[in-house]
Amino acid sequence: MVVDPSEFIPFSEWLASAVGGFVVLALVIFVAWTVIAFAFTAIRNTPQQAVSIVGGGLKRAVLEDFPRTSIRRIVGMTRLAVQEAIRNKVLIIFALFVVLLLFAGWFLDVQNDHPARLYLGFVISTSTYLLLALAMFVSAFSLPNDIKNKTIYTITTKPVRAHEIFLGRVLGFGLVGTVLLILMAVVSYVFVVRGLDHVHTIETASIEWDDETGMGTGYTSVDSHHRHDFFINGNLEGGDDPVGFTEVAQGHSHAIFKDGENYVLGPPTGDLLARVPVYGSLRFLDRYGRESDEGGDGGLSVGKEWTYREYIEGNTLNTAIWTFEGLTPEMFNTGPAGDEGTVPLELNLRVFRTTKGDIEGNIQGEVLLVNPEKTLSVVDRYSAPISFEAEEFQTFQVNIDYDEIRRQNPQTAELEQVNLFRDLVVDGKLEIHVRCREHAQFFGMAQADLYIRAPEGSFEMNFFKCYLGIWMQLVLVTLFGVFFSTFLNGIVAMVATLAIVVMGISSGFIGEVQSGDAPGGGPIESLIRNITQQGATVDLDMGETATSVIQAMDSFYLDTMESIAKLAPDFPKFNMASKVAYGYDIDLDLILKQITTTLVYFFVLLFAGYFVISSREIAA
Amino acid sequence: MNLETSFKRKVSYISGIVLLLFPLFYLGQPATSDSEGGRGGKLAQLRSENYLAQSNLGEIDPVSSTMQLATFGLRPIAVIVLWEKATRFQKMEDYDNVTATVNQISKLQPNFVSIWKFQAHNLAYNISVDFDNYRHRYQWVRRGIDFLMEGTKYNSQDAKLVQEVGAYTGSKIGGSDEKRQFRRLFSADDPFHQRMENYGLEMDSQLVAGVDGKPDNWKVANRWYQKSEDVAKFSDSGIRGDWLRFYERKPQALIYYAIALEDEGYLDTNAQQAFAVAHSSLEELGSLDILSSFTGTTLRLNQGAEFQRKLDELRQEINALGPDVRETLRKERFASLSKPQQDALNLAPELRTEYHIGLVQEANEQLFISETEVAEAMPESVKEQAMLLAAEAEDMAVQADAVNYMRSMINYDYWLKRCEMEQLELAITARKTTAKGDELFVQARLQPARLEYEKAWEMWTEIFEDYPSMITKDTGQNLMPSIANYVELLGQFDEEVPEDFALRSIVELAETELAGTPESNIQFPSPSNPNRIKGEVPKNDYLQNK
Repeated sequence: MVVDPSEFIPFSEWLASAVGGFVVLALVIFVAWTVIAFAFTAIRNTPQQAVSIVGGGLKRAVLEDFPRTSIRRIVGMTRLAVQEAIRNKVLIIFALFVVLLLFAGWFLDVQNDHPARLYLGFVISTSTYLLLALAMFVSAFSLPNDIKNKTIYTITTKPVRAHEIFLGRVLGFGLVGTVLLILMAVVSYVFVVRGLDHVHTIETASIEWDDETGMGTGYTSVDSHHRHDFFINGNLEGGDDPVGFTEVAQGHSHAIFKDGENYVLGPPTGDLLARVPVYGSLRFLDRYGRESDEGGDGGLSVGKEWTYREYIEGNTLNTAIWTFEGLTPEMFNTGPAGDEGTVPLELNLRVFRTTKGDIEGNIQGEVLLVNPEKTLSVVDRYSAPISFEAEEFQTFQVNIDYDEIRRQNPQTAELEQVNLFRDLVVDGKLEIHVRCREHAQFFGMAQADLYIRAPEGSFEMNFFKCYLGIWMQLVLVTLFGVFFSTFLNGIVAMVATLAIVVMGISSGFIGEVQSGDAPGGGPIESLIRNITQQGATVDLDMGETATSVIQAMDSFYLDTMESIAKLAPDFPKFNMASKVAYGYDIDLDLILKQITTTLVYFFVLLFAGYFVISSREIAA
Repeated sequence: MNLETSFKRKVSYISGIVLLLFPLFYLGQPATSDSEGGRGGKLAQLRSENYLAQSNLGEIDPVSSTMQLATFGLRPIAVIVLWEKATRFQKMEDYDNVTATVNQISKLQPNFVSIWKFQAHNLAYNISVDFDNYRHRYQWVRRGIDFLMEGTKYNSQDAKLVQEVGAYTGSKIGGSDEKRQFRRLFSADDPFHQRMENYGLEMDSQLVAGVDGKPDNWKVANRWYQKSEDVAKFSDSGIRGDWLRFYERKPQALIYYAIALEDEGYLDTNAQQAFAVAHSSLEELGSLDILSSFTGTTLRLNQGAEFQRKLDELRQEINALGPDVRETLRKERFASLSKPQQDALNLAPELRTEYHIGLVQEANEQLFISETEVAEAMPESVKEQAMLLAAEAEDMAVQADAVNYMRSMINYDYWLKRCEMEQLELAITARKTTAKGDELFVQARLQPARLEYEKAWEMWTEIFEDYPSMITKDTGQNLMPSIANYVELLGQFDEEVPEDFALRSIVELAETELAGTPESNIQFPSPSNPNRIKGEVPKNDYLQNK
């Protein structure tokens, strides 16, 4: 699974660096409001009066309105918003969602290698798009409609404060969205679990038995567009324990149980997981064993366009080094004497061959557990290499039992077991080195491709966390929708919200276009390229002057876009579908970062909305 | 505006609408399948004439139609977005989503054949090689073939698409580096056989069964080619493109099947029979009417000798009308050549240098005398008759040339001879003996290996004496490694390949082949050890340096 490098930053560190951004966001909105409010008031009155009016407004906000917020009034406003949403038949969205699920089998690839990923991706993205569209419509049109129909008078003539109107709308629409989201989550869960559930059978007569070992092999029946190879140990009695397993197909396998003379398969396992990875930081030694700060080249590129992974060359000193911190004996079920336990590593490497090699064999690699203390001698730092065979495009486990962690005794030349926590781990820190053993073959890896697997989390909990992410997006869109509707008319408010969502989603792309990483230039340049059929990577054939004018205009436009996009929430960060789909637990730090971001937008937009509503003097 | 004008306007609108209905009906009336054969409006007729109507393209899929309708007029845009997504997913190695997206594209544009071809190639050839495990690679090849098969469902009139299924089943499974593994996996892949059966291939027939009775990829490919020929025969569009290249595939698959059997060690009647079947399939190809791009008419590959015989007869008839005319003309032409050209022509062929060869070529062009030229030089009394004969002879010459050209294009003569030769008991014994030599060589039993090899070379010499045209890279391809072993073996005895070695010509071919292979230069000497030999394990000096 691809993990964004920013996810490796712990919450505390992230918060320290994000505070600056939040302050800027608040300041920009506050200053913008003050300047606009001052300008308008100054035009209507005199600048002196404007100062006192704007100042008075600020004073009233701080001393009167916010301290005297009434929960009762907010609940009343919320109820109103809920009623309005229901009157607008928003529940239709749920019906639409169910209809889409009913027909999903038509356009989902049921023969896919990993149907779980596909199904989860589908339900999560459909829920997100439908709910965000709903939030955008409902929130953007509500206030403007009230103003247009003059129903707003029934509220503003009552002693309701401006921020209570704002809060009421946001909470009301948020509540309706939440109910819909819960319904969708339940239906989605049932859809995925039922969609993946299937039963295979084994014909006892078709099992091929090896008389010497008592092992049986064969194929299961074809169900749900796949079948499995299986192994049965005929020497086992069975009972409640499995007597064999199937190979992985379509992302899952089955345990095989003995039922009298027949063999039956258990339910699919391995497709709905929530692995909890403990990540380390990654660095490389180059092929001569040099660190990057010693002039080493780091990891290699094998010429792939996508540079997420770096490669190490086999049979050289090219090494990938993961440094883990905060390791404790309890993580590995270390026995009291410290010499029993297992380091459960999971790897997801890429293999790049420059020669055919042994077609049927996997490429060999080795793992070394290394003491991070560089002042020690090589003999004291390194464990003996532990070999593994790389399997590509699937996560494979290398479980290192403590008795496999050995080191050569320089005196006797014998391999002796070393104590992991006494000899190799220093202050909870350990280095894990990975090398490729075979000449002219390469391993590719990124930081998230090797981790220590902690006890597994619950898939249902993970699914819930993912929907929490959608919920926060829903709240953000509602906030923006209601905020824009305080000063724009319905359709414009909706377009403005849509613009924020689109810019939030594509801020990365806007950045790439601006920096030139995405070829083809800005909007004007790419439009010209489209019309004149010029490729994205060739120089624009327009003459020097025209080209520089076009590029200057594009650059101005993109700078503005990027500045606005920076103010918009980074929606892709809230989308955790891939984690659920690939079976990785959503880290609490990630959720905390999202909650913090949502809260910041909530308060900033609440204050901004308050000032806009109070300065519009609706009732006047 | 009074009531009258409003009424008039309404009437004019309604009449306008009614009038417009006529051209609309003329243009858009749907075609019906009733017995009176309603051909429908102009648009329906155009669709039918240009093979664009769903009903002449293939099966109509409700899912596909629904998706096309659901996108309203935005189908092309949806397709562009999906292509972009597929490319991005592929770049990011997210292959599950690549297949899912590609499926959606094909549902949106089921009759755009290029999508099926392009994406099937992408799955079977580009994505498959990104996987390290050959089983996974096979799964992607299979997925590519499956995708193509699905395409044939929607484009059942496209013979070329059906042929592609055969090409993938044959060449990708049977011609890759991992062909042994792929062929084995294919042969055991019952669900895939079932899929093929669903597309109308008889997978339990002897026609597709390999040595072990299970379907063999080459023979299955041969059946797909047969199916594509059937489609071409019965569809309106026929064969688009070169006929010869279209028809050569079917026998070719059988030849490769036979070669594969030999490669896999079936040096017995199995291989002999396979070559016999391939031979008769080649002969069948010889008697097919094939459109020649040379003459614009259909010709048969086995007509070459007949055309040549007729041409010779006609020439003789022309010569009989004026016995000295041709010779006189030739002498005149020769006299008109330059001195160096004449000298070059008089030089024995083996003594000619490149310069001479150029001169000879120029001279030959000038010396060429067409039958019409001969006829024109005839005495007036027989000129008219000679002209008639000459026209016929020239026509015959063109046809003979066309057949020869077609035969050379697909190496027809070579493959016929090869199939004949491989059926010989001697050839089978020679291969067995060579294989035995290889086995002994691997076991380092050098003396017995040498004896076996030398026995084999004698047999091969005998074969090549009868079939000199077999001394080529193709025949030699499975002999070359054995000859290389033999050369190495001689080296162990401090001997070199004798000058009179019967298979020297094959050794020379092998040497030219080997000269083209660049040496691996992946590993470099390190700064601390500039003299390190490539491929040396650098671990020791690393530990010392630290």
